[in-house]
Amino acid sequence: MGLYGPPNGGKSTLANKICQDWLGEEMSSVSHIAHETREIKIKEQVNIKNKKGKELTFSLVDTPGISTKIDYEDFIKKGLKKTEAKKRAKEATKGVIDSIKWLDDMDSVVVVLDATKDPYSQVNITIIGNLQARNIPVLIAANKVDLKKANIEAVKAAFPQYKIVGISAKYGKNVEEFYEQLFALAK
Amino acid sequence: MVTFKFVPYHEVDGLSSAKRVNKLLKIVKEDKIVIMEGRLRRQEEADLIEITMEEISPKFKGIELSVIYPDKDKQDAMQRLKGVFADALLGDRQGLTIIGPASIVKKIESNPDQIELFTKERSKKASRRR
Repeated sequence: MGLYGPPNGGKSTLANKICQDWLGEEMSSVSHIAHETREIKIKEQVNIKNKKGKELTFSLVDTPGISTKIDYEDFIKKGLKKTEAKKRAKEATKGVIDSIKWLDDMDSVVVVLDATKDPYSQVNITIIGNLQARNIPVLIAANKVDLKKANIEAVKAAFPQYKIVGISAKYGKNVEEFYEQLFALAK
Repeated sequence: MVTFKFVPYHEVDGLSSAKRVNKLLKIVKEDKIVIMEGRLRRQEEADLIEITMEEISPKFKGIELSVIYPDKDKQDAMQRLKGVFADALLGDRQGLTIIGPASIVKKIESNPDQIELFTKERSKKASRRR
């Protein structure tokens, strides 16, 4: 099961929440600077249970955020030195390419969107459109619902044909509903 | 000054996916904003992002991309029926694809009612309504 989405949507925070809840350990590092995850990360044998006692085992794949542009100067503005920023930009471009290449290897995907941002971005549409074209089941996690600016209704309006769960991966809000939806996704 | 380059569908219709994507990206790398009649296939959109990432350098920072396409969820039954025929006849020719260099186009915001293209050059907003 892959976690896909734009940079800084909360994929790694959600990956950590899942791993903390069911494996008792973290999976990925998180940062306020975009493109913190620049390599595909895999955690195998994640086993979750629901209230009815059903179990679901999957390999969790945390992917680098997909973006159409990467400017090393943006990293400098976030406090990185020039050489470090250029290195991060180079790694980030490779990460985006890897994320796209890995789409074919997914059995199901959770698209993690930042619910405080415009859901109609072409990156979101391209990711979801490519998953649809490959017949890969999709669940949309509208993340960061703990923030006032979060607008889950806008996400629902943008993608009316998909199941959408509003969560806060950081604070664990509504993750029980999210886990329940993973069982439906895996059917 | 911002330059727009219109690409009619017949110019890309007969091209392979790779050639189609490369043709559009070549125009964008000339600091022009592409307005293409029709849309890329889903896989081609992903290919465009992938090739863009391969080309990123200190000079070329990537692209802004937006596709305008009839929102089928907001159409009535008759409009949808017409859309089925239009899809069969026109294929990917329906809609518009806008691709701009990230060094010039700050962002393209699209929602069901309008497309807004924000440029970096003059910090002014050019708004296009469909």
